[in-house]
Amino acid sequence: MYYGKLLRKGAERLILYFRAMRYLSFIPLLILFLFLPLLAVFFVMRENDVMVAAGYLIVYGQIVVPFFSVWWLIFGFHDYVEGDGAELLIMRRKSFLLPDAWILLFLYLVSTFIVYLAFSFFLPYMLLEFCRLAMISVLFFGLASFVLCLSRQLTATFMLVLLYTLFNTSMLQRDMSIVNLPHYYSFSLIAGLGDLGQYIPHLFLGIGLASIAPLLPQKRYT
Amino acid sequence: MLEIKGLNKNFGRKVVLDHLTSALESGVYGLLGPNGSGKTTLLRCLTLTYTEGRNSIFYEGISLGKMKNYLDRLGYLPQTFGLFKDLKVREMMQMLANLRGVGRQQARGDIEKCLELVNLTDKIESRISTLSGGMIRRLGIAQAFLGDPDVMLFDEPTAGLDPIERLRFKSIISETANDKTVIISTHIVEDVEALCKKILILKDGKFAVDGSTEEVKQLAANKVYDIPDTDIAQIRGKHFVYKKYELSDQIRLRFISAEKQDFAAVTPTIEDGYLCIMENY
Repeated sequence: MYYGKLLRKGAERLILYFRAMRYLSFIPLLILFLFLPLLAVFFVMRENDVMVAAGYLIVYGQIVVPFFSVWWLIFGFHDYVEGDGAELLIMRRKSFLLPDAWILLFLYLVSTFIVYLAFSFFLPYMLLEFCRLAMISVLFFGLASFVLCLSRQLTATFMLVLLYTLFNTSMLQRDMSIVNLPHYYSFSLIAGLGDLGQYIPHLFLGIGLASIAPLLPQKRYT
Repeated sequence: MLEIKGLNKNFGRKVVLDHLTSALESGVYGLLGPNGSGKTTLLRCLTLTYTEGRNSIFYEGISLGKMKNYLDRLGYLPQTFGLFKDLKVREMMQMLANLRGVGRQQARGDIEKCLELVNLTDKIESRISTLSGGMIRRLGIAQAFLGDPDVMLFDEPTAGLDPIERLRFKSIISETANDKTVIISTHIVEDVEALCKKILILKDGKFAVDGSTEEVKQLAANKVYDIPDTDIAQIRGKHFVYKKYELSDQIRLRFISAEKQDFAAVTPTIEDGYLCIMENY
């Protein structure tokens, strides 16, 4: 009964977060369900070799998927950060902010999973690639949550996420056989579960940062 | 009953609230004080936005830090309000009701009732971004009533409202606040005079006054004079002229003086009492 009520309330909030974002809420979905499939089709048709096409998709997926994993966090929680009268929301922050943010990430990862599951029918290693992307997305999510709570500025958070993505893409062709935090970008295919081990620190760092974020003192309200 | 016991709040070295103590029962309280006197800070302590309130403020005998559902029983209008501008009025109210823990069924009825209170029923399907500043302020007042809270805090509620809406706000408070503890922080002494039975005046981080409106007025008893400006030369000693106005083709001055004057003192108002405290008369 209690959990049912909690779930209904959570679902209602999520719907309202999406409505508050208006057209911005569709952008990650367009990227996942339109841009990435078009890219996949393009590579398959151009290369005529699924291994090469998968390699290309991995390269672009690592740029796009983690970056958009924080989109709903940044724009959905806009009012908590810069809204007039945000203190009305902040005074209740501890009870719902973190779970709501995680649920938004979860929804994004579910959407990503659906797309990569579809890819896996005609491209190799796609489900393992999804696991890698999910772990990197958690790192992005933790980083964005942390900076959002620390700076209380959307622009600063957005820029940091963008710069972090650019920083990583400039580290192209790094050897990812060893743990390379803060790098994540790699050309290497994830051929087995063992290869995912190098991303465990990314995952835990993301979880850690996201957990600390709501505990940070609010610059405006301390 | 809401009790404040030895509440302190500092910003760095600056002491904003200095060992505040008061007991607030049901009724409407006016919170007055000059800019920067700590009115908003006190309200933020009462909303637990500033954690200092956790151990120094008690509701029904329990410290706010230990009370689980205090925030669900609190209605608050911050100084600035304009959340979720891309939502419709109904959706924004739904969101705030949800966050406050108001049940879905209760929220539906509450939203319509609260919007009716502030005369915004016809805007229920409008986007907040399309409303005027005054309407958004009224919406802020409406959301504070969601869930029928026991404690209501208003930070400058009538700022930006036109005279008719100010009157409406006063009548809403008069009608609904009987069994609630309502604190209205404002600069408009007129509003306090019309609404509040008790007044808290903050000065230098302390309550300079914590009493009834009559007590505040009495602070200025035999200190307020209203004279034609032609008599200005006859004023004796230290005085503070705070109003110059025209009445029946005559310019008149209203001033405060602790020294006995040759003129008859007039019946003081809350504003006079407030000025006596602020100007140290």
